[in-house]
Amino acid sequence: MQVFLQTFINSLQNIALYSMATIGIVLIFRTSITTNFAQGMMGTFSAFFTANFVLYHGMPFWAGITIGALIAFCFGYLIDAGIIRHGREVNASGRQMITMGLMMIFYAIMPAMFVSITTRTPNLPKFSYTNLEFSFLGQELYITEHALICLVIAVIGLSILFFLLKWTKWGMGLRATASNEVVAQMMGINTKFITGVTWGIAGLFVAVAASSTAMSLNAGMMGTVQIYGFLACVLGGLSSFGAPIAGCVLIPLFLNYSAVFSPKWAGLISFILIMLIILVRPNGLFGKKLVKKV
Amino acid sequence: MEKNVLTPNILRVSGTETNRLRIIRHPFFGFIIFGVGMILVQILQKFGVVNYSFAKALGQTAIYGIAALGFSFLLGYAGLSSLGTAGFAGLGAYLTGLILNTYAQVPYFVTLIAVLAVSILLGVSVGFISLRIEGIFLAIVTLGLSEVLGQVFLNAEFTGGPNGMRTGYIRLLPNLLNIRTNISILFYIVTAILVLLMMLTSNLISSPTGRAMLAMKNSTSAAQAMGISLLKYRLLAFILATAYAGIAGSLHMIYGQYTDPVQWTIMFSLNILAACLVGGAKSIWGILIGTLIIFGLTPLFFQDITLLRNNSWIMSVISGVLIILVVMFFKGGIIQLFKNLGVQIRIRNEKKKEYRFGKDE
Repeated sequence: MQVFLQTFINSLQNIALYSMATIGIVLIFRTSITTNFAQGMMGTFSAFFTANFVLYHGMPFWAGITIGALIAFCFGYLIDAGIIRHGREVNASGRQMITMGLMMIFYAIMPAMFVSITTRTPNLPKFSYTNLEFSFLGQELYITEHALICLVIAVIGLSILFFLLKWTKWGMGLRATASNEVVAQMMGINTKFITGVTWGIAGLFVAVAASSTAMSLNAGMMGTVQIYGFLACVLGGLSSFGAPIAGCVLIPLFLNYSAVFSPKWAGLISFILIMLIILVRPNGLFGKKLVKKV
Repeated sequence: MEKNVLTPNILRVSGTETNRLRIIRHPFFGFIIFGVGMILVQILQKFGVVNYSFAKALGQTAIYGIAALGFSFLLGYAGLSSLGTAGFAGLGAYLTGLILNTYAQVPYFVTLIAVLAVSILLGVSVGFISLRIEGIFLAIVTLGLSEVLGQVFLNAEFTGGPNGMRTGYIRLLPNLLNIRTNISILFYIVTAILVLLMMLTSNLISSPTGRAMLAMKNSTSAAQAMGISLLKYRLLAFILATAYAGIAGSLHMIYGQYTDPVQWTIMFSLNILAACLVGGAKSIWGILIGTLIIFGLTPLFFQDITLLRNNSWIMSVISGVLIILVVMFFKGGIIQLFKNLGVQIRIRNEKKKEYRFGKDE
C-alpha cells in the first residue's frame, strides 16, 4: 500500500511535466496540422537561457523561469511568422520535415551559444530542495516541494489556457482556425495572429516544463519527454484539446508502476500497454473518428 | 537468322542503332554505370588518388541509401507515414552482430537471410497495425515501436548496452573468403547489393504493384473501389521497407564492425525521411541524391574544410536550413530541378530546330 501510494505521488511531477510539454504539441497539431518535432528543443533552448541567468548571473529561479518562458514565447511566434506560416502548401510529411530542420538547427546552435553550460553540464535548479512528509491512510509518505510547485503551476497554467480557449474571443478564433482555416479566414478571423500566438503559447508551456525538470542540462534532455508526449496525444486522442492531458496523466503512472516491477523494462511494458489501448481504440481513449466525404 | 538475311542493309543498320539506344535507355543501364562508378572510386583509392576516409564514407552513405530506398515505398508510393526506420535497421544490425558473435562458422549470407526473415515478420506486424491506425497516428506509433526497440538495444544483455556491440570476423561463404578488416571487399558487396536493390525497386515501382500502391496513396477509398486490396499492398509496403532497412542495418554492422544504441534513435528515422523528401521520394536517383546530401555531405566533403571541421555545429545548421529550404520551395525535391532542366533543354532544342529547318506543318 505504501509503495502504491508513494509511486503515485512520485508520478505527480512527471504528470505536470508531460502535460505542460504536450499541450503545445496538441495546440500546434490542431492549428498548423503537423507534429512538431522541435517542441522539446524549444523548451531546452529556453531552459539554457534560464540556467544561464540563474546559475551564472545570480537571478532567482522564478525570475529566470519567467524570462526563459517569455523568450520561448517570442521564439515560438517568430518561428511561425518566419517559417511555418509560409509552408502552408507543403504536404503533411513536408511540414514534419520543416520542424525537424528546426530541431536540427536548435540542437546545433545551443551548445555553440552556451559554451559555459555545455562544458560543465550542471543540473537545473529547483524551486525548493526540501521534502514534505505527511501521513495519509495511516501510511508515511513524502513529496518533494519542487514537485508540488510544478504541479500547482501546471494546473493553474492549463486552467487559464482552457479558460481562454473556452470563453474568450481569441479561444473561439483558435477553435475556428483548428476546424477549418480557410473558412475561419473568410469569417474575418486573423488566423496569422492566432497561429503565431499558438506557437508562442506552446513554446511558453514547454519552456516552463523544461526549466523545471531538475535534470542535468544537455541539448537532448527533452527527447524522451517529447516522444512520450506524442504517445500521450495518440493515447488520449487528438480530437479535443483536453484529451491528450488524460494520456499525460496515464503515461507517467504506467511508467512508474511498471518500474516498481522491473526498472529496466519499464518503458517496454508501458509501451505495450499503450499499444494495446491504441489498437482497441485507434482514435485514442477520448477521440472521435473523423468521417471524410469521398 | 533468316530474317536478318532478308532485311535490306539500311534497315539492319538502323535496327542495331535503336538496339544500342534501347540498351542505353534501359533503366538498369544507369544503375550499372553507377555501380561501376562506385567500384572505380574504390579502385582509385587503392592507387591513392582518393582518400581512404572518402571511400569509406561513400560506402556508409550507400548503406543508408538502401534504407532510404526501402522507406520510399512507404512515403513515395504507399503514402504511409512511418518513423520506425531506426528501429528496423537497428534490429538488423544487432541481429547480425548476435549471430556472427555466437556462431562464428555461419557464413554472412545465411545471417542476411535470417535478418530478412525477422525483418519481414516485423513488417507484417507493423502492416497489420497500419490497417487500424492511419496518418500521423501511425507515424507516432511506429516511432514508439522504434523507441522500444532502442530500449531493448540499450538494456538487453547481448547488446553490450551503451558500450555498443562489435563483430570481428566475417565469413562470406563456408570455408571461403574470411574477412576481418578488408573494407574494400565489403565495399564491393555493399555496392552490389545497392545496385541489385535499385533494380528490384525500379522493377517493382513500374509494375502493377507500384501502380496499385500509388493508387492507394492518392485515395484509399478509390483504390478499394478499383479492387485493390489495402491489406495486401500495405503489408507489402511495410515488408519491403523493413526488409530494406534490415539489410541496411546488417550491412552497417559488418561494414563498420560496430554499433551502439545512439545510432538508432529518432534522428536516424528523421534523417531517412529527410533524405527521401529532399531528393524526391518518387525517384530512385532522387533518393540517392537526397541520401548523399543528408548523410554524405559532412563525411565526404565538409570534413576537409578546417573551419567546418573545428565547428561541427555549422554543418548541422547548414543541413537544417537546407532541409527547410528544399521542402518549402522545391516540392518534388532536388530531382525535380534536374527534370525541369531537362524539359527546358528539350524546349530549347526544338526551338533551335524550328529556327534552322522551319516549322513542321
